[in-house]
Amino acid sequence: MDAVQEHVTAVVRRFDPTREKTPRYVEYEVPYVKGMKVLDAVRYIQRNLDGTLAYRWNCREGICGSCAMEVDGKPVLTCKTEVRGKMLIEPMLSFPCVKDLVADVREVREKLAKLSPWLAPRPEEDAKKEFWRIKEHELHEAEEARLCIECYICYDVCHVIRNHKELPFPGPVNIVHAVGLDRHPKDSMDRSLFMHKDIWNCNMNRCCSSSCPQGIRITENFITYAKERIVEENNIVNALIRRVRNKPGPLDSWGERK
Amino acid sequence: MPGQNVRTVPVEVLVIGSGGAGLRAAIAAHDAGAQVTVLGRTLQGKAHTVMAEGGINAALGDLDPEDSWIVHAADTLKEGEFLSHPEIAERLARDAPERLFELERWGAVFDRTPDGRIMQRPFGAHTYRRTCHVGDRTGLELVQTLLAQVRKRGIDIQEEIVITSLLTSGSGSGKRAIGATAVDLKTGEFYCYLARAVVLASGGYARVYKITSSPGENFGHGPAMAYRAGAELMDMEMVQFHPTGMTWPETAMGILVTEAVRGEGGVLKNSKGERFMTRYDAKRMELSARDIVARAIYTEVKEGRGTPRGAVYLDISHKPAPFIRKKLAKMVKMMQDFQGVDITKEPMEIAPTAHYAMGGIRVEPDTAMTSLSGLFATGEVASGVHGANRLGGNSLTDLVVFGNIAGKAAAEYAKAAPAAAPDRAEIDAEYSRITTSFGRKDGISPAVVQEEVRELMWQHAAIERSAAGLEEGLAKLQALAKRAMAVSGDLRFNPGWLDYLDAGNALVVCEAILRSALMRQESRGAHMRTDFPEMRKDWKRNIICVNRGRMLLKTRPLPEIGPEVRQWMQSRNMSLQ
Repeated sequence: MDAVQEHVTAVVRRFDPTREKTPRYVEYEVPYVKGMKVLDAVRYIQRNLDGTLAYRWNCREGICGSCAMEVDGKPVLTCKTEVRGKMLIEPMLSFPCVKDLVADVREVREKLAKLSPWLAPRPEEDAKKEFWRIKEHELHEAEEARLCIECYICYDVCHVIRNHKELPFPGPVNIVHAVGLDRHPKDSMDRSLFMHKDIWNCNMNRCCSSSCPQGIRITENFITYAKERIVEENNIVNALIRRVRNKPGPLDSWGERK
Repeated sequence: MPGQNVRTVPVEVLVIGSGGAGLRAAIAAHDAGAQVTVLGRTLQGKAHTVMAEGGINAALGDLDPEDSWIVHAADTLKEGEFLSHPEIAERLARDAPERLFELERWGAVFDRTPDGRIMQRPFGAHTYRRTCHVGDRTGLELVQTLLAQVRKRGIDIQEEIVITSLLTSGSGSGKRAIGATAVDLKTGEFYCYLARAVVLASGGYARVYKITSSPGENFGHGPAMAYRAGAELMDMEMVQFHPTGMTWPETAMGILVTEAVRGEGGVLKNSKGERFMTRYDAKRMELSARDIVARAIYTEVKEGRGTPRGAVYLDISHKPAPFIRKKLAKMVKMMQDFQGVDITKEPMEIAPTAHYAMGGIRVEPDTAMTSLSGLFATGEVASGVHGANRLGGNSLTDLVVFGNIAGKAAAEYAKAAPAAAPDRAEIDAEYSRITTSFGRKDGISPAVVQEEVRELMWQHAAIERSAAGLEEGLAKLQALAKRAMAVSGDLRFNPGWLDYLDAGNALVVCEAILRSALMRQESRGAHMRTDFPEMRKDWKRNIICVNRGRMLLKTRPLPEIGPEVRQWMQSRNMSLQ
């Protein structure tokens, strides 16, 4: 960004689906301040040029995950993205639009609800009256999932979600949550297996990993883990060993959850 | 137009706010058998709580076995300059370990000691190491954990619902809270939630200051609504200025640099390279109380020993880089993002920022019920826990301890409370109030009102205060309150209208801050009066603001400190004043 430039131009997608058939793209001039982020430009427009411009924000420091939008076609946290001389600002377009830059993200949580997204401690661990003893290294995988700020950038950028609405797919963010819980050292569930059909719609393009503002290695550490878990569980040899040991697995082979 | 459009929703316990306190209250009320609805102004998991960095206090004694709830309570009272309600402070410390235990069972992933216990870091003004943490994103961990439990229980949680007022029925001592009016931002519909009990957990008001670490929504709608409904506010002048906020670029001004930087060994230096804390608190140095460190930085800059940006240096670069990256991951990333500064190699430039509201709605120690029957308050919106200054790490403890107490008490209250019929006229009047500014031709922008309020509060009611300054601030505020505001559009996801609502609430909250600060003719904790620089024994009292058509102020004496804590403090020759 050139410091002597006085203005930046923001082309903002304005849309009220309850009143309009198609979105409008409106150009705004915003005075440039050093260090300015895209969110600052959006806030300038709303507070000085058009008070009705709908957008989400809260913490402005990249930890609440409210302000994700598409800037020049790429979803980013706008509070951490520098403004450009001219930029296109749109809501996350894989979602229905509530108004202007606000995306309706409810579908993500509806999918999450099917994955038992809470810790289910093993009964013997749950019964302990004392604090657990857990070594730091046992927590690495669970901890990486907890970095998630639910900005839904990974969901927006995922081409399965974006281009194949007809395919069932939990979405990267939900896989992170499910696998993160699976990998908690005291957890008893295998949520990865709940996704045993849908997860194969992901062909590992790593769009999610490369877009995550928290740097979570979604494809590498979560989607891969879930796929491996499913394969391992459904491996015929493993299934036989389980049968011999009379240990029922959580799935019958390629069937539904028991 | 009003009246017909109201959608009425009956609930048993209504929880307003989906941050840590609201979620914990919802869980407690649900577990006590109540039907609960949680209304959040933001999306799930986006509340102020997620911004908490440093940690959550509980006297687990994992590193220092001598620690106990008694010492935790004593530290809290002492840091609060004995303005905390002693029973509340004691309850905080007593319940904390149990709440921590619960969080761990619910999946919170804390940093560990080498033998697998929960790691506890030293924090400013704590006698022992007791701040449990997850790197520097403890608040996020807390919200994720509580949200998972809310989801597990199938508790009704609604997002992007803005509360505009609290509804009451009856009068005098029979007056009680019976619900709230609200707007669903997604649809613009006007709602009336009718409840048997209401838990207000809507956060603090530090955003009324120009330089602040608080998020966009913290204009104090909770205290303002409670005040209008008749509940007492307490110690509103007590606002904590965190010593270390970012100073540049302009857009990042005020953003918090966590106390954990100092907890993990960071040192403060002025522009001459002196470790100036030797002059202010040679014993505790950088880990002195927040008000002392904030005033020390303020003084250094005022006396010309600051950087050209009006800041001082905070340096952790003497520690090994991998250690910094692990313990202060968020800080490393944030300073890189905003300033391009690598804190493993260079110092940061920091200055105080308005951080936390110790003041808020007055509550009872055992139930968290406010002076308005049926209205409970918990978290930053309530007062009484932190007194004149909050101990680092106590805000998250506050959320889970008193969220739990408020939720339980609200569920019990709801069982005995009769159903109440709302007053149609009151609801219609509220609808008129919130829509009156639409389409006005002669008003000013609410964004302008907000900025002017924040500027005047920073000038007149921030780190240093005086009678003349506060009176000037009050006059400016009253002039501003007379100006009509104009808003375009309608109720559907309209930030301009939200600005209008926030500006109106900020005016109430700021009046309470300014009047209380004027009344308190002494310096205590975060409240520093240049014209009354000493702490005065006879001012060991809470200041109450109450709505009697106009704002009335009175003081309230504090009860004695309990025997265990008193004995411990006496055994250490600590002053009880």
